[in-house]
Amino acid sequence: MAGSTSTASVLEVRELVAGYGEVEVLHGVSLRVAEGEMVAVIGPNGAGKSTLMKAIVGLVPPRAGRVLLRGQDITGLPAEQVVARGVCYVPQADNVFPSLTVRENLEMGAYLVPKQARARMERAFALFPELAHRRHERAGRLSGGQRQMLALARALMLEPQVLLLDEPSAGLAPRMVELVFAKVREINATGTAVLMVEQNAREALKLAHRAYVLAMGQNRLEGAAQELLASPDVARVYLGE
Amino acid sequence: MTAIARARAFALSGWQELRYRADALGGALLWALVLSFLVGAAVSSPDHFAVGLVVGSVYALAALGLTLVYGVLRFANFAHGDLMMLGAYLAYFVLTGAVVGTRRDVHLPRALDSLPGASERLGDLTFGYGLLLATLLAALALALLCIGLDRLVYRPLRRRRAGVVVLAVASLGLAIGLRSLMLMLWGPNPRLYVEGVFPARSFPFGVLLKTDQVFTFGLALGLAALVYLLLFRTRLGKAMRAMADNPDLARVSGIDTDRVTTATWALAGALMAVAGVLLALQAQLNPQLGFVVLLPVFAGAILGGIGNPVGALLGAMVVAMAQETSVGWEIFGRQLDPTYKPGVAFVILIAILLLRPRGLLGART
Repeated sequence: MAGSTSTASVLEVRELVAGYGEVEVLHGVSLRVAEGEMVAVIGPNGAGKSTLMKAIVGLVPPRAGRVLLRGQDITGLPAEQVVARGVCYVPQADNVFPSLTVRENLEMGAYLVPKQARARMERAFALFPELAHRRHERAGRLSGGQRQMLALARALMLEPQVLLLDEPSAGLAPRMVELVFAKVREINATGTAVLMVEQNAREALKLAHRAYVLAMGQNRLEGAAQELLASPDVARVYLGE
Repeated sequence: MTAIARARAFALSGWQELRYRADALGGALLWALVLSFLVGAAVSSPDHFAVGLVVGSVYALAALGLTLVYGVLRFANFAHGDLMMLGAYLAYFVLTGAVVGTRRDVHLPRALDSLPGASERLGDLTFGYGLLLATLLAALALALLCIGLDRLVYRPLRRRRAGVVVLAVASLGLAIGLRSLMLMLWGPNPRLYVEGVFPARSFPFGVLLKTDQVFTFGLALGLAALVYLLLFRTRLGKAMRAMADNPDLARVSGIDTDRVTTATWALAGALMAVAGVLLALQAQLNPQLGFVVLLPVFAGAILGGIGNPVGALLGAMVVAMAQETSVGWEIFGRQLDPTYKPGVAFVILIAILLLRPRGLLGART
């Protein structure tokens, strides 16, 4: 996206350090997501991609660094408050409530805005028609692809300022991956900024405007997605060529 | 894919398939056993069946609280039975104002008993409105106490990311402490809400039940239905179920899990108190009773599928029924002694854990 660097940042991460117990996973990661932008974070297994997501959303407490939402400091806020401010997150696995029905999952997505739940649910069903037919079914009975759709729909119920996606293509059949990515593009096209972590680097780079390459808990490369896709370094190391 | 990898994948999927089949078979077997047992019990000894229904409804209320705490907070609360008894004793205390003294009981100058007409029997029941009021107060007190205990004991442990074993052992310690407290305050001798001997009433099929037992059954099932409505129809109840499914996902949905935890303890505490009073109403108040019922209540919750509220209800009923009808069983030509009742619950527990650990309605893991 041309000129994206000049627009205001929706989300900015500065020198973020985080980890679990004795282990430090992120050693100072920085990134920014501009208004309406789709940003991908790619990198090998164990690079700290999922931890980055969890640290931004407040599930893993950051040890240093800052997370800014439209310039406001949200570093270290509990997850439920980060979400209330408009950073919604779709975890990689276990991203629906299996014993709740599809409808109840969406209600939980709209937990903070119960009055708007009904209207937003109708919108979610319009965006994901296959969920509408199964609204009274338990989420645990959905297929992997449908579950991913429901997870997206749940995260959209609060009309987030920025949507965080942790490996939306993980464990899905190729046809479903295509479908999920198409939906992500559709969501982004309506103006929602997206920060996506992906193992499937090539597809992610095709989809995103800009991307960061993460390795060993640090930024390695940053640039327009097209440039990274064309870069021989990235191709050799991360695209398996 | 190499041939070896393919063979391995095939073997793995075969193993998965086998496990899936074994699980389904175990489930079908368990359901068949439970249903044929229930029908058999109802036909062969309707009297024991009826008593089983009454005891089962009390166990069900207890198991409901246990399974709620297990589901939402993810640990086996071994203090559940003793908290129930504490609820029963608290109701006794506000009703009679009595605690044990050096020689004789010491009485508070005023208690609910001294309200006008509080002890007048309601219809055919053995007690008056005083006990109902006392139960309500005990439910409130125990709800607050459970919230307090969570803040004091369980929450600090959770914050330190203590595992399930640590939490369970902490609850066991709490159970022993509470039991000692009850022994100190009310002594080892059994107590009664109301003194006296009351006749039972005749029902069809030779069933004899006291009106208290009919009341117990009705109240327990009514409360269970209310809890069901809360869990499946209200925003708070759905948040509890969501948190039981996945606490992190609940948090990133904007659910304040601390508040849901508090609400869960309040609900579980109130249920414990009512279950405790109803339990004591069946027999006597006794500091050991909480520990005695813990096992059948656990067995019931696990039989139904721990964490599943509907399962808890069903499982508790079945365990109580098995315990009550066991009195009539003949083994090696001798009638089974009623003191073996807890043993029956234990046998059921072991059988489920071997046959199908997730129980009748539990989620596949």
